[in-house]
Amino acid sequence: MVAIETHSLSKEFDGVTALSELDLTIEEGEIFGYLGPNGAGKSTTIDLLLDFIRPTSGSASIFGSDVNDDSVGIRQRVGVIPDGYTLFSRLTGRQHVQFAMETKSVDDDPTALLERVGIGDAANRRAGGYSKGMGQRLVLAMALVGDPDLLILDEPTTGLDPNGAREMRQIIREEQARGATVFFSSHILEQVEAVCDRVGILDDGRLVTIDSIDSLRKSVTVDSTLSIELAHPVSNGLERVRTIDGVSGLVVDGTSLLVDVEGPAMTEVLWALESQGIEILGFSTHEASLEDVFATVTGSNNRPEESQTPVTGPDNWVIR
Amino acid sequence: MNAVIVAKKEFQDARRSKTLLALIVLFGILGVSGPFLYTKLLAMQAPTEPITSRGFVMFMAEFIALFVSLSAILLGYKAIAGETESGSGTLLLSLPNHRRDIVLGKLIGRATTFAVPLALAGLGMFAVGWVLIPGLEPVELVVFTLVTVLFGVSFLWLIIGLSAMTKHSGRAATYALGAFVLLEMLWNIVVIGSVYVENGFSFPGEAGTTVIAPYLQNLPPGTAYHNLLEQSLAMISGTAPVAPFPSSLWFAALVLVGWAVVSPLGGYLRFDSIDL
Repeated sequence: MVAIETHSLSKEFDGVTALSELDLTIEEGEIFGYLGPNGAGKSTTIDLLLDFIRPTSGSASIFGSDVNDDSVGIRQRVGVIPDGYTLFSRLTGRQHVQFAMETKSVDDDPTALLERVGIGDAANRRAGGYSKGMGQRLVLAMALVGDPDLLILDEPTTGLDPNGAREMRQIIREEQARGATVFFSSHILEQVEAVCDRVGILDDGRLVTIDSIDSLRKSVTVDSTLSIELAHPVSNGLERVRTIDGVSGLVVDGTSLLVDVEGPAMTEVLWALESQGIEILGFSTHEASLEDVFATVTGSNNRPEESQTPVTGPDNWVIR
Repeated sequence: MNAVIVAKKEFQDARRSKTLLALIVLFGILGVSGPFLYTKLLAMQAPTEPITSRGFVMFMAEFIALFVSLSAILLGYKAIAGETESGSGTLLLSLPNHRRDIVLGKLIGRATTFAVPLALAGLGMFAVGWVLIPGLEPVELVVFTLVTVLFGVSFLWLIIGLSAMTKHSGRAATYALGAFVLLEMLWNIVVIGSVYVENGFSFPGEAGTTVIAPYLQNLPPGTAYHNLLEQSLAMISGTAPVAPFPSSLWFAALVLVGWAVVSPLGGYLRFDSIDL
């Protein structure tokens, strides 16, 4: 059975194409990652699926029902984290979940749901005082109400710290194990690759590739850039770094060091420096972002301003 | 019916809002101070005129109407446009709510919210009036409160309907104030215009009659409120004058209900068709 299907789905806003001829089929039970930079048309797709906006041409269906004809019936079976929502600031977290339960006419345990997403202790606080991450967790709890058959999550890890993003992925896996289908959009590759069975990459309103995460990874090898700030300029001792397996480039500029490196070798680089008594003040990484994958997948390398998107993720620490 | 669930949430939310608190304070003051003002002003301006229950109620109606319509604007102009703009509408529509449920839920929830300060004003007015106005008729105050709530809700729903016409709360504010200025301040120009047009683009002489103008004249919610109150008070005391249909009780009630239905219906049809 097919969870989501679109045929030549297109949307124009005032003559500007936001989504062009999208053909997509998402099978029941899979976790599908919908990738693309900001403005690529991810939210437009989701807004069309949820009937927030109407297509210029083409059609979409969820579980066999047309999204325009039976939007409410569809949303009864779907849990959503939408894009650009605002919480009801004067209602508590619990009241939000209760509202979702009443709307879906299901009996669920709001406390258990709020605990599952990690904000059980804030259940009785007003959502107006929630942080962005807590708000995101609350909306996830609302989406999970009634064990939906499909989860549509628009940038679900926005505002979450690395731990929160990991918990979100864990819940997504649990939901799949229960039998749910998950449609998950993100502009950050690492959020998607850890959890998705298949990914579609969207660029400028067009689906440029759709593949399993494994074959996508095989087709693309990208390095991360590790930038290290040293206490003193160094001249020698860097040879050992150069010879580490996985290091493909090294640039020294005074006390700044830029190392092109594959993920697992990063710690080795740091150890190699420290073991030689080279004092490190701090470091950060620029994760290989979707943009880099894009450049490879689409063969276009003309996005210099975006190709070094710093990623706030587990690989971005600073030490003193 | 999901509209009721949305309305319940709306009321829960509004219960804690500063706007509601402000309205309760405002209408509490108006209700309590009304009887004082009436007796003082009457003593000052028309010392020979007796203090009557009817006179008091009609004074209160004139006194409170402006506050009711302005409060309705305050409470209603962002009802739907604001939700769409801020994104809480997105959250509502991510759940299995029809857009109809959103509009209906807003109408019911906000009307319930508005009824609270209006009813409190009625109570305060009754308590103080009981002391200051000899011969105060409780039934007249009850009628006054009910008719005022009907007027308030009608005006509120007119504004909420306008709010559903746009996604921007700034524009919604313009529509709401525009409607207020047109209906409650500039309406005479419209009426005069209609006479001019109906008379073949010239003004009739003294003897000239028009068919449309009397109806048109009684279309603004404020006028309908006044007519409805006057006619129902006359009816309960058995002194109902034979009013021509355009200024009768039934036409006034029809007008208030009409505004409360037509504007939200138009708003809903628009809201249902647009991209959010």
